[in-house]
Amino acid sequence: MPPDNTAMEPCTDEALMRAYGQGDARAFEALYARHKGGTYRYFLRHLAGDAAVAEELHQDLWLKVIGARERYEAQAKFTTWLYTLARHRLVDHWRVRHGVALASLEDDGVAAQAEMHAVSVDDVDDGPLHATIGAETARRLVTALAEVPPLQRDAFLLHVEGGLPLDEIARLTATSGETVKSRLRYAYRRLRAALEDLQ
Amino acid sequence: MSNRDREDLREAGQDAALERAWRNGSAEQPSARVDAAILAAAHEAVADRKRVPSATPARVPPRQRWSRWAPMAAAAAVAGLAFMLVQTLPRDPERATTPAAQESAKAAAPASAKAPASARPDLAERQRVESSRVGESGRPVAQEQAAPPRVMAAPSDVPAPPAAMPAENPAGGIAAASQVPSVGSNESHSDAGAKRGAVADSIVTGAAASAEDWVAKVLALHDAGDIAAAADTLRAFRAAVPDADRHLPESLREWAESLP
Repeated sequence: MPPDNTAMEPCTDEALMRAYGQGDARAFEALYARHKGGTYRYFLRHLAGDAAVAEELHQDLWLKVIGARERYEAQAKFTTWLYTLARHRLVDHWRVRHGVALASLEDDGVAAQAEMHAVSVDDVDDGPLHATIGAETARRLVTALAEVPPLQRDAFLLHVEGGLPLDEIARLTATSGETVKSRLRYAYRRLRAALEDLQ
Repeated sequence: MSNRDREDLREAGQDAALERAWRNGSAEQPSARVDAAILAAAHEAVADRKRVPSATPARVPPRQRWSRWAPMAAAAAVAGLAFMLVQTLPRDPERATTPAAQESAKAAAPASAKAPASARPDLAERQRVESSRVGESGRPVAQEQAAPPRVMAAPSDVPAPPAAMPAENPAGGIAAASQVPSVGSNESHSDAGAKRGAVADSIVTGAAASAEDWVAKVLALHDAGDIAAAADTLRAFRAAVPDADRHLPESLREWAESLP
Protein backbone atom coordinates (compact mmCIF):
# COMPACT_ATOMS: atom_id res chain seq x y z
CA MET A 1 0.00 0.00 0.00
CA PRO A 2 1.51 3.36 -0.98
CA PRO A 3 2.25 5.79 1.81
CA ASP A 4 -0.37 8.40 2.49
CA ASN A 5 1.25 11.72 1.72
CA THR A 6 -1.87 13.81 1.91
CA ALA A 7 -0.99 15.15 5.34
CA MET A 8 2.44 16.29 4.15
CA GLU A 9 1.53 17.44 0.67
CA PRO A 10 -0.17 20.71 1.64
CA CYS A 11 3.10 21.79 3.22
CA THR A 12 4.78 22.38 -0.11
CA ASP A 13 4.25 25.61 -2.00
CA GLU A 14 3.17 23.68 -5.06
CA ALA A 15 0.51 21.76 -3.15
CA LEU A 16 -0.78 24.94 -1.57
CA MET A 17 -1.05 26.59 -4.96
CA ARG A 18 -2.87 23.60 -6.38
CA ALA A 19 -5.23 23.60 -3.41
CA TYR A 20 -5.93 27.26 -3.97
CA GLY A 21 -6.58 26.58 -7.63
CA GLN A 22 -9.21 24.11 -6.50
CA GLY A 23 -10.90 26.70 -4.32
CA ASP A 24 -9.13 26.51 -0.97
CA ALA A 25 -8.64 30.14 0.03
CA ARG A 26 -6.82 29.16 3.22
CA ALA A 27 -4.10 27.56 1.12
CA PHE A 28 -3.52 30.92 -0.49
CA GLU A 29 -3.32 32.61 2.89
CA ALA A 30 -0.58 30.18 3.91
CA LEU A 31 1.25 30.65 0.64
CA TYR A 32 1.04 34.42 0.85
CA ALA A 33 2.24 34.45 4.44
CA ARG A 34 5.28 32.45 3.39
CA HIS A 35 6.36 34.60 0.49
CA LYS A 36 4.93 38.08 0.93
CA GLY A 37 8.01 39.42 2.71
CA GLY A 38 10.39 38.04 0.12
CA THR A 39 8.55 39.37 -2.91
CA TYR A 40 7.96 42.74 -1.28
CA ARG A 41 11.63 43.16 -0.39
CA TYR A 42 12.67 41.91 -3.82
CA PHE A 43 10.85 44.89 -5.30
CA LEU A 44 11.85 47.26 -2.51
CA ARG A 45 15.59 46.63 -2.91
CA HIS A 46 15.46 46.92 -6.67
CA LEU A 47 13.56 50.19 -6.35
CA ALA A 48 16.03 51.77 -3.94
CA GLY A 49 13.58 51.70 -1.07
CA ASP A 50 10.56 53.25 -2.81
CA ALA A 51 7.92 51.58 -0.65
CA ALA A 52 4.91 52.95 -2.52
CA VAL A 53 6.00 51.56 -5.86
CA ALA A 54 7.20 48.35 -4.24
CA GLU A 55 3.74 47.85 -2.75
CA GLU A 56 2.12 48.54 -6.09
CA LEU A 57 4.27 45.98 -7.88
CA HIS A 58 3.89 43.52 -5.01
CA GLN A 59 0.12 43.79 -5.25
CA ASP A 60 0.18 43.40 -9.03
CA LEU A 61 2.31 40.30 -8.68
CA TRP A 62 -0.01 38.58 -6.24
CA LEU A 63 -3.10 39.52 -8.19
CA LYS A 64 -1.46 37.84 -11.15
CA VAL A 65 -0.87 34.76 -9.02
CA ILE A 66 -4.54 34.80 -8.03
CA GLY A 67 -5.59 35.17 -11.66
CA ALA A 68 -3.40 32.25 -12.72
CA ARG A 69 -4.57 29.90 -9.97
CA GLU A 70 -6.46 27.56 -12.28
CA ARG A 71 -3.78 27.52 -14.95
CA TYR A 72 -0.93 26.85 -12.56
CA GLU A 73 0.94 23.63 -13.27
CA ALA A 74 3.69 22.56 -10.95
CA GLN A 75 6.24 21.98 -13.68
CA ALA A 76 8.85 24.04 -11.82
CA LYS A 77 9.24 25.12 -8.23
CA PHE A 78 6.55 27.54 -7.13
CA THR A 79 9.17 30.06 -6.03
CA THR A 80 10.82 29.95 -9.45
CA TRP A 81 7.48 30.68 -11.07
CA LEU A 82 6.67 33.38 -8.51
CA TYR A 83 9.95 35.21 -8.93
CA THR A 84 9.78 34.87 -12.69
CA LEU A 85 6.50 36.79 -12.53
CA ALA A 86 8.05 39.28 -10.12
CA ARG A 87 11.03 39.85 -12.37
CA HIS A 88 8.82 40.36 -15.42
CA ARG A 89 6.75 42.87 -13.51
CA LEU A 90 9.85 44.74 -12.44
CA VAL A 91 11.26 44.88 -15.96
CA ASP A 92 7.89 46.12 -17.23
CA HIS A 93 7.89 48.80 -14.58
CA TRP A 94 11.34 50.01 -15.54
CA ARG A 95 10.50 49.94 -19.19
CA VAL A 96 7.38 52.04 -18.67
CA ARG A 97 8.73 54.44 -16.07
CA HIS A 98 12.30 54.92 -17.14
CA GLY A 99 12.59 53.68 -20.69
CA VAL A 100 15.06 51.24 -22.10
CA ALA A 101 18.13 52.80 -20.47
CA LEU A 102 17.11 51.72 -17.00
CA ALA A 103 15.66 48.36 -17.94
CA SER A 104 19.04 47.13 -16.94
CA LEU A 105 18.04 43.72 -15.67
CA GLU A 106 18.25 42.79 -19.32
CA ASP A 107 21.25 44.95 -20.09
CA ASP A 108 24.01 42.57 -21.02
CA GLY A 109 26.51 45.39 -21.27
CA VAL A 110 26.11 46.24 -17.62
CA ALA A 111 26.30 42.59 -16.71
CA ALA A 112 29.44 41.98 -18.69
CA GLN A 113 31.13 45.03 -17.22
CA ALA A 114 30.20 44.02 -13.71
CA GLU A 115 31.38 40.47 -14.22
CA MET A 116 34.71 41.61 -15.61
CA HIS A 117 35.18 43.70 -12.52
CA ALA A 118 34.25 40.73 -10.37
CA VAL A 119 36.95 38.62 -11.97
CA SER A 120 39.55 41.31 -11.55
CA VAL A 121 38.96 41.60 -7.83
CA ASP A 122 38.56 37.88 -7.27
CA ASP A 123 40.58 36.33 -4.44
CA VAL A 124 41.36 39.70 -2.94
CA ASP A 125 39.09 39.39 0.08
CA ASP A 126 37.37 36.01 0.22
CA GLY A 127 37.34 35.19 3.94
CA PRO A 128 34.20 34.64 6.00
CA LEU A 129 32.47 37.68 7.37
CA HIS A 130 32.00 37.94 11.10
CA ALA A 131 30.30 41.29 11.29
CA THR A 132 28.35 42.60 14.20
CA ILE A 133 24.65 42.21 13.40
CA GLY A 134 22.69 45.29 14.09
CA ALA A 135 20.89 48.23 12.67
CA GLU A 136 24.04 49.82 11.34
CA THR A 137 24.96 46.60 9.57
CA ALA A 138 21.56 46.34 7.95
CA ARG A 139 21.65 49.96 6.84
CA ARG A 140 25.05 49.53 5.30
CA LEU A 141 24.06 46.32 3.52
CA VAL A 142 20.98 47.91 2.02
CA THR A 143 22.96 50.91 0.89
CA ALA A 144 25.71 48.74 -0.54
CA LEU A 145 23.25 46.56 -2.41
CA ALA A 146 21.74 49.63 -4.04
CA GLU A 147 25.19 50.29 -5.50
CA VAL A 148 25.51 46.80 -6.91
CA PRO A 149 24.68 46.54 -10.65
CA PRO A 150 21.16 45.30 -11.27
CA LEU A 151 21.98 41.84 -12.57
CA GLN A 152 24.24 41.05 -9.63
CA ARG A 153 21.72 42.56 -7.24
CA ASP A 154 19.00 40.50 -8.85
CA ALA A 155 20.94 37.26 -8.41
CA PHE A 156 21.60 38.11 -4.77
CA LEU A 157 17.96 38.99 -4.05
CA LEU A 158 16.64 35.91 -5.80
CA HIS A 159 18.92 33.85 -3.59
CA VAL A 160 18.49 35.51 -0.20
CA GLU A 161 14.87 36.70 -0.48
CA GLY A 162 13.47 34.07 -2.81
CA GLY A 163 15.53 31.26 -1.39
CA LEU A 164 16.29 30.01 -4.88
CA PRO A 165 19.28 27.74 -5.51
CA LEU A 166 21.73 28.66 -8.23
CA ASP A 167 20.34 26.36 -10.88
CA GLU A 168 16.85 27.82 -10.43
CA ILE A 169 18.24 31.34 -10.68
CA ALA A 170 20.04 30.33 -13.85
CA ARG A 171 16.82 28.90 -15.28
CA LEU A 172 14.78 31.93 -14.24
CA THR A 173 17.25 34.41 -15.71
CA ALA A 174 17.97 32.26 -18.76
CA THR A 175 21.69 32.27 -18.10
CA SER A 176 24.28 29.65 -17.27
CA GLY A 177 25.10 28.49 -13.76
CA GLU A 178 28.59 29.94 -14.11
CA THR A 179 27.16 33.36 -14.91
CA VAL A 180 24.97 33.21 -11.83
CA LYS A 181 27.94 32.23 -9.69
CA SER A 182 29.91 35.13 -11.06
CA ARG A 183 27.10 37.57 -10.35
CA LEU A 184 26.65 36.31 -6.81
CA ARG A 185 30.36 36.40 -6.16
CA TYR A 186 30.45 40.01 -7.20
CA ALA A 187 27.46 40.93 -5.04
CA TYR A 188 28.89 39.21 -1.95
CA ARG A 189 32.20 40.97 -2.42
CA ARG A 190 30.57 44.38 -2.65
CA LEU A 191 28.51 43.74 0.45
CA ARG A 192 31.47 42.47 2.43
CA ALA A 193 33.41 45.49 1.40
CA ALA A 194 30.65 47.70 2.77
CA LEU A 195 31.01 46.05 6.20
CA GLU A 196 34.78 45.87 6.38
CA ASP A 197 35.25 48.66 8.84
CA LEU A 198 32.73 47.12 11.23
CA GLN A 199 34.87 44.04 11.79
CA MET B 1 19.85 21.83 0.02
CA SER B 2 21.90 19.29 -1.88
CA ASN B 3 25.67 18.97 -1.79
CA ARG B 4 25.73 20.26 -5.34
CA ASP B 5 23.91 23.41 -4.27
CA ARG B 6 26.32 23.91 -1.37
CA GLU B 7 29.25 23.47 -3.68
CA ASP B 8 27.78 25.94 -6.14
CA LEU B 9 27.23 28.50 -3.41
CA ARG B 10 30.71 27.99 -2.02
CA GLU B 11 32.06 28.62 -5.50
CA ALA B 12 29.88 31.71 -5.71
CA GLY B 13 31.55 33.07 -2.60
CA GLN B 14 28.54 32.59 -0.38
CA ASP B 15 28.95 34.10 3.02
CA ALA B 16 26.57 32.63 5.57
CA ALA B 17 27.29 35.36 8.12
CA LEU B 18 26.54 38.04 5.60
CA GLU B 19 23.29 36.35 4.62
CA ARG B 20 22.31 36.11 8.26
CA ALA B 21 23.10 39.78 8.71
CA TRP B 22 21.06 40.57 5.66
CA ARG B 23 18.04 38.58 6.82
CA ASN B 24 18.15 40.03 10.32
CA GLY B 25 18.37 43.55 9.05
CA SER B 26 16.01 43.19 6.13
CA ALA B 27 12.59 42.41 7.49
CA GLU B 28 10.31 44.91 5.80
CA GLN B 29 6.80 43.71 5.05
CA PRO B 30 4.03 45.07 2.85
CA SER B 31 1.51 47.21 4.67
CA ALA B 32 -1.55 45.66 6.26
CA ARG B 33 -3.68 47.50 3.71
CA VAL B 34 -1.95 45.75 0.81
CA ASP B 35 -2.15 42.39 2.59
CA ALA B 36 -5.86 42.88 3.16
CA ALA B 37 -6.47 43.86 -0.45
CA ILE B 38 -4.60 40.83 -1.78
CA LEU B 39 -6.28 38.39 0.57
CA ALA B 40 -9.68 39.88 -0.17
CA ALA B 41 -9.03 39.45 -3.89
CA ALA B 42 -7.96 35.85 -3.30
CA HIS B 43 -11.11 35.07 -1.32
CA GLU B 44 -13.32 36.84 -3.81
CA ALA B 45 -11.84 34.90 -6.71
CA VAL B 46 -12.57 31.61 -4.98
CA ALA B 47 -16.03 32.72 -3.88
CA ASP B 48 -16.91 33.73 -7.45
CA ARG B 49 -15.83 30.33 -8.67
CA LYS B 50 -18.03 28.58 -6.13
CA ARG B 51 -20.97 30.86 -6.77
CA VAL B 52 -21.04 30.49 -10.54
CA PRO B 53 -22.75 27.10 -10.96
CA SER B 54 -25.58 27.56 -8.47
CA ALA B 55 -26.35 31.25 -8.25
CA THR B 56 -25.77 32.59 -11.72
CA PRO B 57 -29.16 31.73 -13.28
CA ALA B 58 -31.05 33.48 -10.49
CA ARG B 59 -28.89 36.60 -10.75
CA VAL B 60 -29.32 37.18 -14.44
CA PRO B 61 -31.30 40.41 -14.86
CA PRO B 62 -34.21 40.41 -17.32
CA ARG B 63 -32.36 42.47 -19.90
CA GLN B 64 -29.44 40.10 -19.84
CA ARG B 65 -31.81 37.14 -20.15
CA TRP B 66 -33.39 38.62 -23.27
CA SER B 67 -30.01 39.36 -24.79
CA ARG B 68 -29.10 35.71 -24.29
CA TRP B 69 -32.22 34.51 -26.12
CA ALA B 70 -32.24 37.23 -28.78
CA PRO B 71 -29.90 35.48 -31.23
CA MET B 72 -31.89 32.25 -31.02
CA ALA B 73 -35.17 34.12 -31.48
CA ALA B 74 -33.75 35.94 -34.49
CA ALA B 75 -32.54 32.69 -36.01
CA ALA B 76 -35.94 31.09 -35.47
CA ALA B 77 -37.67 34.07 -37.07
CA VAL B 78 -35.40 33.93 -40.11
CA ALA B 79 -35.94 30.19 -40.43
CA GLY B 80 -39.70 30.69 -40.17
CA LEU B 81 -39.70 33.39 -42.84
CA ALA B 82 -37.59 31.24 -45.13
CA PHE B 83 -39.95 28.32 -44.67
CA MET B 84 -42.94 30.52 -45.44
CA LEU B 85 -41.29 31.81 -48.57
CA VAL B 86 -40.47 28.32 -49.75
CA GLN B 87 -44.00 27.22 -49.05
CA THR B 88 -45.79 30.14 -50.67
CA LEU B 89 -43.73 31.26 -53.65
CA PRO B 90 -43.84 28.12 -55.82
CA ARG B 91 -47.48 27.34 -55.08
CA ASP B 92 -48.99 30.70 -55.81
CA PRO B 93 -48.64 30.38 -59.60
CA GLU B 94 -50.05 26.89 -59.43
CA ARG B 95 -53.15 28.04 -57.63
CA ALA B 96 -53.58 30.97 -59.98
CA THR B 97 -53.52 28.82 -63.09
CA THR B 98 -54.91 25.57 -61.85
CA PRO B 99 -58.52 25.82 -63.06
CA ALA B 100 -57.57 27.00 -66.55
CA ALA B 101 -54.68 24.63 -66.71
CA GLN B 102 -56.87 21.70 -65.82
CA GLU B 103 -59.33 22.48 -68.60
CA SER B 104 -56.76 23.14 -71.26
CA ALA B 105 -54.71 20.14 -70.26
CA LYS B 106 -57.72 17.94 -70.74
CA ALA B 107 -58.30 19.47 -74.14
CA ALA B 108 -54.67 19.34 -75.14
CA ALA B 109 -53.94 15.78 -74.13
CA PRO B 110 -56.25 14.07 -76.62
CA ALA B 111 -55.32 16.60 -79.26
CA SER B 112 -51.69 15.87 -78.87
CA ALA B 113 -52.46 12.20 -79.21
CA LYS B 114 -54.33 12.83 -82.45
CA ALA B 115 -51.78 15.11 -84.01
CA PRO B 116 -48.22 13.89 -83.70
CA ALA B 117 -45.56 16.51 -83.60
CA SER B 118 -43.88 15.18 -86.71
CA ALA B 119 -47.00 16.10 -88.67
CA ARG B 120 -46.51 19.76 -87.88
CA PRO B 121 -42.82 20.50 -88.32
CA ASP B 122 -43.34 24.27 -88.03
CA LEU B 123 -45.08 23.89 -84.69
CA ALA B 124 -42.60 21.35 -83.55
CA GLU B 125 -39.77 23.72 -84.30
CA ARG B 126 -41.54 26.55 -82.48
CA GLN B 127 -42.16 24.23 -79.58
CA ARG B 128 -38.52 23.31 -79.43
CA VAL B 129 -37.42 26.93 -79.40
CA GLU B 130 -39.94 27.95 -76.82
CA SER B 131 -39.32 25.04 -74.59
CA SER B 132 -35.60 25.69 -74.63
CA ARG B 133 -36.26 29.33 -73.77
CA VAL B 134 -38.47 28.37 -70.95
CA GLY B 135 -35.99 25.86 -69.67
CA GLU B 136 -33.27 28.44 -69.54
CA SER B 137 -35.15 31.38 -68.20
CA GLY B 138 -37.24 29.59 -65.65
CA ARG B 139 -40.84 29.44 -64.70
CA PRO B 140 -42.04 33.07 -65.02
CA VAL B 141 -41.36 33.15 -68.79
CA ALA B 142 -43.46 30.08 -69.32
CA GLN B 143 -46.25 31.50 -67.22
CA GLU B 144 -46.24 34.70 -69.22
CA GLN B 145 -46.65 32.68 -72.38
CA ALA B 146 -49.21 30.33 -70.95
CA ALA B 147 -52.30 32.15 -72.20
CA PRO B 148 -51.85 32.40 -76.01
CA PRO B 149 -51.23 28.71 -76.76
CA ARG B 150 -54.23 27.76 -74.68
CA VAL B 151 -56.41 30.02 -76.79
CA MET B 152 -54.94 28.62 -79.95
CA ALA B 153 -55.47 25.05 -78.85
CA ALA B 154 -59.11 25.50 -78.05
CA PRO B 155 -60.70 25.63 -81.56
CA SER B 156 -61.48 22.21 -82.87
CA ASP B 157 -60.57 22.95 -86.50
CA VAL B 158 -56.99 23.62 -85.64
CA PRO B 159 -54.99 20.52 -84.91
CA ALA B 160 -53.89 20.61 -81.32
CA PRO B 161 -50.23 21.46 -81.23
CA PRO B 162 -48.02 19.67 -78.81
CA ALA B 163 -46.89 23.13 -77.72
CA ALA B 164 -50.03 23.39 -75.62
CA MET B 165 -48.63 21.11 -73.02
CA PRO B 166 -45.65 23.10 -71.91
CA ALA B 167 -47.49 26.37 -72.07
CA GLU B 168 -50.29 25.21 -69.86
CA ASN B 169 -48.23 23.41 -67.35
CA PRO B 170 -48.17 25.46 -64.20
CA ALA B 171 -44.74 24.10 -63.55
CA GLY B 172 -43.69 25.81 -66.77
CA GLY B 173 -40.12 24.85 -67.30
CA ILE B 174 -40.74 21.37 -66.11
CA ALA B 175 -43.34 20.52 -68.66
CA ALA B 176 -41.62 22.41 -71.43
CA ALA B 177 -38.36 20.66 -70.86
CA SER B 178 -40.07 17.33 -70.67
CA GLN B 179 -41.55 17.85 -74.11
CA VAL B 180 -38.33 18.43 -75.95
CA PRO B 181 -37.40 14.84 -76.71
CA SER B 182 -40.90 13.75 -77.63
CA VAL B 183 -41.28 16.59 -80.14
CA GLY B 184 -38.25 15.49 -82.04
CA SER B 185 -38.23 12.78 -84.65
CA ASN B 186 -36.47 10.21 -82.53
CA GLU B 187 -39.00 7.41 -82.37
CA SER B 188 -37.19 5.46 -79.72
CA HIS B 189 -38.12 8.13 -77.20
CA SER B 190 -41.77 8.18 -78.06
CA ASP B 191 -42.83 5.77 -75.32
CA ALA B 192 -40.86 7.59 -72.71
CA GLY B 193 -42.30 10.84 -74.00
CA ALA B 194 -45.81 9.51 -73.65
CA LYS B 195 -45.08 8.32 -70.18
CA ARG B 196 -43.64 11.69 -69.25
CA GLY B 197 -46.64 13.41 -70.74
CA ALA B 198 -48.93 11.32 -68.62
CA VAL B 199 -46.98 12.13 -65.52
CA ALA B 200 -46.91 15.78 -66.43
CA ASP B 201 -50.65 15.64 -66.94
CA SER B 202 -51.17 14.15 -63.59
CA ILE B 203 -49.15 16.96 -62.05
CA VAL B 204 -50.98 19.58 -64.04
CA THR B 205 -54.44 18.30 -63.40
CA GLY B 206 -53.96 17.62 -59.71
CA ALA B 207 -54.69 20.69 -57.64
CA ALA B 208 -51.67 19.86 -55.53
CA ALA B 209 -49.28 17.41 -57.13
CA SER B 210 -48.10 14.77 -54.74
CA ALA B 211 -44.45 14.05 -54.12
CA GLU B 212 -44.89 10.68 -55.79
CA ASP B 213 -45.98 12.39 -59.00
CA TRP B 214 -42.93 14.58 -58.95
CA VAL B 215 -40.70 11.64 -58.27
CA ALA B 216 -42.29 9.62 -61.03
CA LYS B 217 -41.77 12.45 -63.45
CA VAL B 218 -38.14 13.00 -62.48
CA LEU B 219 -37.52 9.28 -62.67
CA ALA B 220 -39.15 8.98 -66.07
CA LEU B 221 -37.12 11.85 -67.49
CA HIS B 222 -33.94 10.57 -65.98
CA ASP B 223 -34.50 7.04 -67.22
CA ALA B 224 -35.31 8.37 -70.67
CA GLY B 225 -31.90 10.01 -70.73
CA ASP B 226 -33.22 13.56 -70.67
CA ILE B 227 -31.00 14.66 -67.85
CA ALA B 228 -31.50 18.39 -68.39
CA ALA B 229 -35.25 18.09 -68.22
CA ALA B 230 -34.98 15.79 -65.24
CA ALA B 231 -32.80 18.37 -63.53
CA ASP B 232 -35.28 21.14 -64.23
CA THR B 233 -38.09 18.99 -62.93
CA LEU B 234 -36.15 18.19 -59.81
CA ARG B 235 -35.49 21.87 -59.18
CA ALA B 236 -39.17 22.60 -59.51
CA PHE B 237 -39.88 19.69 -57.23
CA ARG B 238 -37.47 21.13 -54.66
CA ALA B 239 -39.14 24.49 -54.93
CA ALA B 240 -42.55 22.97 -54.36
CA VAL B 241 -41.64 20.46 -51.70
CA PRO B 242 -39.08 21.52 -49.09
CA ASP B 243 -37.71 18.05 -48.43
CA ALA B 244 -37.97 16.92 -52.02
CA ASP B 245 -34.73 14.96 -52.05
CA ARG B 246 -35.99 12.69 -49.31
CA HIS B 247 -38.69 11.38 -51.61
CA LEU B 248 -36.28 10.43 -54.35
CA PRO B 249 -35.39 6.77 -54.85
CA GLU B 250 -31.86 5.68 -54.03
CA SER B 251 -30.97 5.49 -57.70
CA LEU B 252 -31.54 9.22 -58.10
CA ARG B 253 -30.09 10.55 -54.85
CA GLU B 254 -26.48 10.65 -55.86
CA TRP B 255 -27.36 12.41 -59.07
CA ALA B 256 -29.68 14.79 -57.21
CA GLU B 257 -26.97 15.70 -54.71
CA SER B 258 -24.74 16.77 -57.57
CA LEU B 259 -27.31 19.34 -58.64
CA PRO B 260 -27.13 22.80 -57.10
